[in-house]
Amino acid sequence: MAYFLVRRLGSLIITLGVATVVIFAVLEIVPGDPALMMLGVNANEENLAALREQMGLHLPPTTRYWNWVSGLIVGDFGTSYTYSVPVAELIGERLWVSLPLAVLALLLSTVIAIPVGAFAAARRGRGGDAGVMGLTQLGIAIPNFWFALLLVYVFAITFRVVPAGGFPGWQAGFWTALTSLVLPAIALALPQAAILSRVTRSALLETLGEDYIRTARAKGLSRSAVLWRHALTNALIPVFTILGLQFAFLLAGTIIIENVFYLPGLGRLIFQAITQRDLIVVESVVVLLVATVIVINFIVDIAYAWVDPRLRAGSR
Amino acid sequence: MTRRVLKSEPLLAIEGLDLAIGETPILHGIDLSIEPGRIMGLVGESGSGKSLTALAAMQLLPAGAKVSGAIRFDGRQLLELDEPAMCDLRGDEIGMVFQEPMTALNPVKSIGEQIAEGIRLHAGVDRATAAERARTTLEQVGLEAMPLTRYPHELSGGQRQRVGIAIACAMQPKLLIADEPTTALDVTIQAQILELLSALVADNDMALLLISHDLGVVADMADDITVLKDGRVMEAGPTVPVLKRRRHPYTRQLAEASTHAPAKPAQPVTSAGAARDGLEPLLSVRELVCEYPGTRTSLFSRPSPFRAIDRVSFDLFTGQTMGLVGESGCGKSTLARTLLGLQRPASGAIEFEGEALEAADPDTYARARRHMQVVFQDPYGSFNPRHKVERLVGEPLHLVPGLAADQKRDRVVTALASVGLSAGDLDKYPHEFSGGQRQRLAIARALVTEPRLIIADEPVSALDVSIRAQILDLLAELRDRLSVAYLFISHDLTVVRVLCDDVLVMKDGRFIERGSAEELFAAPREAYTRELIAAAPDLAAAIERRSAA
Repeated sequence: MAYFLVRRLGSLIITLGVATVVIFAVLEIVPGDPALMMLGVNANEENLAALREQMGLHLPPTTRYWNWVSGLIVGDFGTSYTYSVPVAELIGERLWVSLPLAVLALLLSTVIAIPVGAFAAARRGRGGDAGVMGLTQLGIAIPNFWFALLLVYVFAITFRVVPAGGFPGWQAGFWTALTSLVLPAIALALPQAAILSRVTRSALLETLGEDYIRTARAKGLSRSAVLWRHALTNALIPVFTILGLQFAFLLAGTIIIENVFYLPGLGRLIFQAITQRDLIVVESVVVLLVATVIVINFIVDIAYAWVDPRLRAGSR
Repeated sequence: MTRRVLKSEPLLAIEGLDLAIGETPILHGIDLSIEPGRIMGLVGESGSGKSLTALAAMQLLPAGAKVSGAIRFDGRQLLELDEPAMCDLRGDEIGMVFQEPMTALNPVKSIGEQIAEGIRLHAGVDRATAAERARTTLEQVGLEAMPLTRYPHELSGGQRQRVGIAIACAMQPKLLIADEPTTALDVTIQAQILELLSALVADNDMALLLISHDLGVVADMADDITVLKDGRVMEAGPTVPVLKRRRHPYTRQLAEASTHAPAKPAQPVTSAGAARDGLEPLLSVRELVCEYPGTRTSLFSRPSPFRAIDRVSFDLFTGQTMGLVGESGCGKSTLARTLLGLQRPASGAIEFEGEALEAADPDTYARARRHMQVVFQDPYGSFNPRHKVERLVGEPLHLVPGLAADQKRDRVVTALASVGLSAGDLDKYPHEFSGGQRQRLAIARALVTEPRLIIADEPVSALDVSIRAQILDLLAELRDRLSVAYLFISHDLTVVRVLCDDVLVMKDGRFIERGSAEELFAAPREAYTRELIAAAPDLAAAIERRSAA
């Protein structure tokens, strides 16, 4: 197990390193001068040069990359060009909106998808299965921002049970803050839940055809006991894989959803930073998102080993 | 062993059982009854309905199956019981053991959990008590030292089948159904498992329904026998008289097929004889070593490799049939793969038709492979299902340069003709053939380049006895007509005995004994060879022993 962990950690660090290089290189190529953005189009050449020097933009790219990465390692993300505050502070604030949102959406989609997938698998080929699969098809097809607008119309405008947008901050009380995240989380979770329930269903159907399922039935277990106790644990591996991949899509989805619901999260931050050529913020947020996705997949790898003893044995 | 001789009320009585899946009728009026404490052997070839008969008694039939008739078990009509009542019965009063020990256990649950699960369900005891009883059950199946926390992948095939038996017998059922329980196991392990089953039957006064395609196994084990063909009972009665008298033509056919010996060549080519005559070997292997990378145990040191073949040497002569026997994992298949150039040897020499192959470049190997072809075990898995026969059988012809399209076609037709198929089969797909015909196709594919050596890796192991007899005849005929040499790899000693001139016995990557088939089977020198021969089921010997008793 120790060897397994060390190997996975090693590949995690290498992936992160490669990601920083790619992110830096891409933003080097993107046109737009941050100094010009800050001072406006009418700024004179001298001021621009002075500002570029102050921001370190005159240095060669390799030096700037090194400065940036060594800063990241010690937690110094640099200072935002447009907000003139430390990027770390900026991200820290926004993270407390985006992270709970993503986690809530992930939980929601898992809690919906696994029982729905199991329900459909248990009724394979019957009405319930066809109905559920039709609904998931719809769930995948509907764009989440449109679904978000629909949710706002129904629950915020017609029934007035939740706010239509904005975020009061966690200091306004846990429940108040949470209710303002409910609609965005549902909007984010819907397509994910639809995909995940289809994956759960097909993984379950595959395992239900295995010999050990027959052994379990011959032991006297009922159909549903076999499904939950024997088939589901074996079907979890593909479900975890998709879950890990979906987290990246969830993070990407927050950029749109936070704009729809006017939430002060990372998604909106990066959106604004791009339009304002606040490259240092863009870089840092993207690195953070990449790191989150990589760490989530690291956790998925460990979850595999937790579920499947054969993978644990890989270390021996 | 004490078994009831007095006729008592049957424990399980199947009467007039009809079964259809969808619109296809499978079973027709099956009658079968088992008395407590007795062993009923249910024999038949694949597709005869053996397993479905058992699954009908368990009420675990596939979706869309329609049954009629009556199944009475211990005073209850099973076909009239509802699902919860059947759940109470399964695993408690009727246990079932399946064929594939590799896949019959849940890979993510420990064996202790899997045995205890049924105990908790039926006895309603707590976890600790169930674990304790699981421990006792494991001891009963001969796994005294096996920790309950082990997972299936940490066990050997034989151990897994013991766990499967432990699961089925945990509640001491009145009836145990064993569906081909030893088919996937080596002969020595098979003998142990069969011994365990008869001991469990005798100790617990259990009835056993033993399903098998192997008459030798049934002749050895069963008190009574039911012979099934195409979903109908052909013959039933006490085992020894039924198998001895062979009144029913089908029983006779089965019994003859399972002991069938193809005609021996007039002049068998043995290594001893060839050496005496100073013949040049066709294939010569010297000090061959094959290794696989070992599993890493430490972060810093390279693992030491696993030696699958350990310095083996042998010669094979034109027209010779060399049997290679040994248990799974002994290195038989690695040797075949290495000779075929599918994997490189670590050291040693391979010489075929006077050309060194151990470090040959792809071109040299391609030339050699023209005269060295292969037939695999699984007649279905070794064909691409999307290709037609002409392409499948003609595939090795790329090794023969300069053939025009019609010449290729002629070669394929000739090869098909020599295995008893016709030019009319050229445009068919593999799924249109039966298992036996597919193995003929595989042999035709090997013959199409006019090879001088065919490496046959368990070519008849997946076939029914009657088809096996035909394929053995075909191989013998081809040997005599085309004087090809065979390296015949098999775990089935009965087959090797009737087909081969010489035999190599392999264990742990080495040849521990070799000699002419006749001498080796008559007077094996090594204890291991004796053990292998003794463990192989033998119909004639079993009948003789049982009728003497």
